[in-house]
Amino acid sequence: MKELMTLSTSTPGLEPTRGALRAVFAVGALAATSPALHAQQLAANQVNPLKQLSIAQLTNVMVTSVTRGPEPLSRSAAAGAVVMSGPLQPHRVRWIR
Amino acid sequence: MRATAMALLIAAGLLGGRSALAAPTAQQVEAVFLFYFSQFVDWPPGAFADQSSPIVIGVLGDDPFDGSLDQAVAGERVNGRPVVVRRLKSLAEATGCHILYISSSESAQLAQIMSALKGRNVLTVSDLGDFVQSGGMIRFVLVDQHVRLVINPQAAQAAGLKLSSKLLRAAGSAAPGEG
Repeated sequence: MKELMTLSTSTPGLEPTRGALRAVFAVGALAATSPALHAQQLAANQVNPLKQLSIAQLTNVMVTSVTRGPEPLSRSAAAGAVVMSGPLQPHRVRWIR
Repeated sequence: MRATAMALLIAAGLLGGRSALAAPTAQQVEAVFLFYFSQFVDWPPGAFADQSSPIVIGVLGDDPFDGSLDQAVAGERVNGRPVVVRRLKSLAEATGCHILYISSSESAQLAQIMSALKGRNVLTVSDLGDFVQSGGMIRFVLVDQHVRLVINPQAAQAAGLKLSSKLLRAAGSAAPGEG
């Protein structure tokens, strides 16, 4: 960091890069904030728009499916997974019908 | 300059991606409902210590809201009263609560909880299957990926609570046998 800053200040042609570096470091710092802070931000992003709705409108909001307890497989939401060729190759699978 | 702009665009992309809006979870919608109940229920004056006492929302048992409830009440005031959230490990800590959300972790103790709350000015809320049947007041039900309310107005009335017509209209009222 110190070396890069020294380089950019001593080389006029690289001056714009210093701003870019600062921005990149700022991004790094923001991205590395604690998961709790991130969860809080995410909750705020989801909850605040809901608070703009009336109580009647709130009953019409479609939610992601969440179960609170065990439920029969026949009633649970379908799940899908993408299998790439990498994990299949060791099993010598060439194609799937 | 161009490099700075590029970096800022990357920053916006990264941060935007982290906080992208998706469909809310049932718990987030329920958290907002819990806050709304503080606006649509009238408690008798004796339920508050004084004019500025807070409206207390208690969560009994495991908290399923993951911070959403705190966000729902953050900075809010209802009739001049702040709204606060308390996490409770046992019913004994529920003294002073005006709204009590009974978590599914408490299903085994539901009968004792309802019995202990009888006659107290506490709005009881849960998503437990037999909640209204057990004397509960408002049950959250997930129907076709929508959170619906099943309300037992008789139970609320017996506890000295007055539910607003807006709240009753937003829900399908239920006889104690239905919820």
